[in-house]
Amino acid sequence: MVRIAFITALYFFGGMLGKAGSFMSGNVALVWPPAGIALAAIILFGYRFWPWVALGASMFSVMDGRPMGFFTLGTAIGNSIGAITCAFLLERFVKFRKSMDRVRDVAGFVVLACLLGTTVNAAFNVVGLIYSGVINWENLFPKVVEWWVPNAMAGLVVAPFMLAWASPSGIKWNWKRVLEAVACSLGLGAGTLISFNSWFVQGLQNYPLAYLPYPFLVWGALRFGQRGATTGTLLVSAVAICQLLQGRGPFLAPMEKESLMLIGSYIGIVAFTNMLLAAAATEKWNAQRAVSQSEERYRGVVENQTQMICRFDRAGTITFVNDAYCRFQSRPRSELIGSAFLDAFAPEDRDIPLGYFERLPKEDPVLTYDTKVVAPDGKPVWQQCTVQRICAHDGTTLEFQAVLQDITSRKMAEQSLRKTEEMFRLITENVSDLISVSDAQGKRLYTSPNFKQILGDPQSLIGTDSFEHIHPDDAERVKKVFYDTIASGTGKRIEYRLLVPGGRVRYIESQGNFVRGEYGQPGKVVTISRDVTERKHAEAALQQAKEAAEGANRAKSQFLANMSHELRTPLNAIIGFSEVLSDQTFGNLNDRQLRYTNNILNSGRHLLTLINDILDLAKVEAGRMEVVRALFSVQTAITDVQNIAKALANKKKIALVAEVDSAMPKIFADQGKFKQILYNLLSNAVKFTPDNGTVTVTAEIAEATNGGPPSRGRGSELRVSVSDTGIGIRKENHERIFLEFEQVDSSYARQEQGTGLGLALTRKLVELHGGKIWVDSEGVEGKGSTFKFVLPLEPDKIDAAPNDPDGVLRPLVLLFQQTPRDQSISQYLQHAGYAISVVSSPAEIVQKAGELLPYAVLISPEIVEPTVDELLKLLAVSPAGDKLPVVRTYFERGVLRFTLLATDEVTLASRQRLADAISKRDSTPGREVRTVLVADDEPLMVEILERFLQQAGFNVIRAFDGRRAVELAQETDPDLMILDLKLPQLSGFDVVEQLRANPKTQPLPIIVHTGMALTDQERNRLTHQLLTVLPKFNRESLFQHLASFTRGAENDRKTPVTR
Amino acid sequence: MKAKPKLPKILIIEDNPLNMELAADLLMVAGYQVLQAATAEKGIQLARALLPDLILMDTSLPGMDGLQATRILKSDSATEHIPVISLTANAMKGDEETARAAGALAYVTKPIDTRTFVQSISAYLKAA
Repeated sequence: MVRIAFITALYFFGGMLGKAGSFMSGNVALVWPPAGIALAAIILFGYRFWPWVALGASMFSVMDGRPMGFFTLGTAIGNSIGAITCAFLLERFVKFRKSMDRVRDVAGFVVLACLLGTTVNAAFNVVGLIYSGVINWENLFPKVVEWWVPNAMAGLVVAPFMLAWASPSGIKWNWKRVLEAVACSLGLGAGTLISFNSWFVQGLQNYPLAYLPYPFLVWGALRFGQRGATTGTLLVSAVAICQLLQGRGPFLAPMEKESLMLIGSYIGIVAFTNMLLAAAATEKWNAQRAVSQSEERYRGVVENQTQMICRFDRAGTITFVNDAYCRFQSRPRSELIGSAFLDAFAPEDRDIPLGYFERLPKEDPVLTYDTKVVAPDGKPVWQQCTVQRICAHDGTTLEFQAVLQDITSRKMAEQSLRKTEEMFRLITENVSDLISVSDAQGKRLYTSPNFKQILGDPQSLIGTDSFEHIHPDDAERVKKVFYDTIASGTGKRIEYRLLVPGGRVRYIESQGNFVRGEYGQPGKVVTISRDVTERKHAEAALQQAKEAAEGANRAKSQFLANMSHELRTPLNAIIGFSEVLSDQTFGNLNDRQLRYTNNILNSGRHLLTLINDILDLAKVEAGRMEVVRALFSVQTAITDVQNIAKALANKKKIALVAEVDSAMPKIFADQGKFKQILYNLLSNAVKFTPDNGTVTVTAEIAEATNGGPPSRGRGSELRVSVSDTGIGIRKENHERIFLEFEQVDSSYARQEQGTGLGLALTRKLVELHGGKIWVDSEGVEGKGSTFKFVLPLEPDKIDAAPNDPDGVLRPLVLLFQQTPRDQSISQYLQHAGYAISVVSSPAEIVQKAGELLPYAVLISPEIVEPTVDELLKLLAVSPAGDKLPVVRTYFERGVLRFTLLATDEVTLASRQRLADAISKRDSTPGREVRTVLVADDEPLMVEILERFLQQAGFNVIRAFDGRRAVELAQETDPDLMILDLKLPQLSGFDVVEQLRANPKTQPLPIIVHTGMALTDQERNRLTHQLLTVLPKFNRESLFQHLASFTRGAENDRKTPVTR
Repeated sequence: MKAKPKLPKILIIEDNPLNMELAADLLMVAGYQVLQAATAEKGIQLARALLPDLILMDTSLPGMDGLQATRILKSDSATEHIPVISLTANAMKGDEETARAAGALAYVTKPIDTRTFVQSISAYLKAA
């Protein structure tokens, strides 16, 4: 906005000035400033500015009193379009710069803008005039010329002035400059006045002294650029025009027109020349400045770098050095120039002949080498020297340039790297381990020399695949570890086998590390390996020896165990007969005879104990001692044992005391072993305690500490201690006493005839249970010893299908018992090969039936009928329970018998075997059922049965008529027969009769599978001879029976019943 | 009237009471006078005090063992003349040499053969 106002004002002012300077009765001005202003405005502010120019022109016209007519319009449009035209031409052809600091700018400006562009202005003005009736068309051309002049003049004088002052000048102003400017202006003014006015020099007025301002104009142009030039021009023009209007000056001519022409050409020449000069001068300055800037930059590069640069001539005399060179040499430039280039080098390097430099070829006149230089402080410094021969076109040497770069640190790094490498090499080549380096794909890059012993010459291994010789079974694993090492940086140690040339196998132990590459280089894997073949062989040999020893040990134990029978048999006679003798059953004996008989008896018994101990020990070692767990009361067990030991104790008047928590629950452990252990300890205690002493037994259940091994039950253990007031055991013997046949020397031991095995066996028994035993004693007579042992306790739960050591799956039965003390049933069942879970309530049974899916539920004799009924009812409604066989147990003449219960069936005869009872079979001697004879005349039926049976694992023999059935039964001796009653040749009934009549086939189990409706009589006839009668077409039922039969058979196979 | 000849005294050093009884009874029935000691120390005491005609020495005794006792008796001028017969349950090779080296005249293995025991002892007594 400001610009617009300013320009408009300026335009107006210019207009007035123009008017003021007009000649010929005010119609023609020599200079029409508005045109110049318009031109400058458009050049400075762009084409878009033309409306304001137009506006300015219109306003001026209006204010000037001219009506808004064609002339005004024409002027307005003309000025705008003219200015635009000029600007366009300049831009297009000259690439005009408004600062006009190039000659081409000025030339273009003058020709295009002032001469050509202003024609447009003039044209518009004149046309406007014609249209407003002031002039005629015939006068067009001369009038255009007439109107062209003021516009052109304005273009030469006014516009450049505005442009120059609107542009930055490149002149640095200081007060010297200012003075100069003032002086110049003064001079210019004076000169102009003198030449045009001559009011202080009389008589000069008529001499053509128009050239007087010229020196000052030139001065202004040369020293002050376009600003100076255009200002000067303007000044001179203004003064000249004023003077001329006042009728003074050298251009005064008789004809006004002539004066105008003279002064016009003067001003035009002045303007043009000035601008040219200024442009030329400015161009030169700019060029100079560019050069000096470039030179400075160059100098900066040369001076500021750390590289030392020097130039020397063919004689080796230095002609130029840069700052760095001077700094390094610590000598001033003045000293260095003129000195010999080679002086700086170490003596041994000085004899590089200059001639060598001389001979550098023109195409590649550069030589680079490393040299050691002595710094002024005496320290040797490594430098890389690049010498270049600078030559003229024809190849002659002008001079040499040397650039020296300090490479001391690099050289030292190189040296230390070399040293490190040497050290590395020293290590890798002398260490006994095998060191190899490979890339990330396993390609070998380096192997240490001792690879020769494994795979061959290290040199030949480079480039080979690290995985090549690995044993195929190990290759996958090794590769995986290799890649894991790359991923994680450090690998784990692995062992693997190599198949070395020659076919042998070597065991290698390796560990690798991944080393990342630097600067984008790929990483490497460094592996350190060891040949551990010997070690492996040694280990294997050791293992073999160990196994052999263990085998031998086991064999010995096995042998001893097997000898059990042999050893005990004679003792039977010795003990037996001497007992009978001492009983005097067959006659009295005299004292001596009695005494002798007792001697025999006691020795026999002692021997028996010894043999038993040895055999027990051997059995434990051979792994044949079983742990049979059941619930029992610790208190009761202790009391029992004490009772046995009382005989011994009473002889020495030793008191037996027990301290057991009466609320201690029953524990689930091996009662027999517990008693055995306790008895051993008690009898020892009694043995080693003098008369009137005390032996105390304590027992408690506690949380397992890390004293005992963790057991499945996790958490509780039984802690028992037996302490006496005897002679004690010295500390050094605390472990020894547990060894076989080690006895502490003492008269007590001898008297009581210890076997020396007691504690060894006791310890083995405790350990068999998973426990620990030890002794606390000070070894002081009277303080006695305390033997302690802990037994880990298992919870009362048995897994549904526990494996015993033989790996046989034991079917699980739930034993409903409310007197857990009685283990007779559970022991029987265990021996029969079942696993037992004891339960004590019907609800519990139902719950466990669902959880454990047992084979059967057994009901102990003491359970009363109502409870049994309750149980049966509960089971009937529970999902798992209604198919569960429920079996009553009881003892008959010392033999355990089973009766299968069901909710709706008649109780069958009791069986001696659980499996028989459940499957409701007559007892079979536990044969495996393998072959089934199917007799049916319906092929489809036979096929169905056959398929079912074969799936269950049986062989099937087919008979399609009765006679064949009998024949086959006799020939093939099947395990089971499925018989249809309606058969050709011989009816089913007859088949049965014939088979029953023949002793060979009498025991054959038969299932009758019939579609006939049987009369009661017929049914009775069959029933007592058969397994069961099943109606046909009741597939469920048949399959059920077969299933139970086959399951029973399966169980028979797995539960060896020992009777 | 001829005076009854003095019964030869035989000292048995044996810690097992039953073995002792058997041996003692056999010898007493045969008419010998039997002295009994259950330890080597006691045996040496008795030997020095009563100077038996023969000593039966069990090799495995509590405390000092039989061989050592034998050596002691043989090195004692008072008792060195008394023949010592070793009684041993071990019948390993080399035991005989060991026993003889200690000074025993012979050795008898246990269990003793009751049929020939007395005769052997008598023979040894006669030989002495």
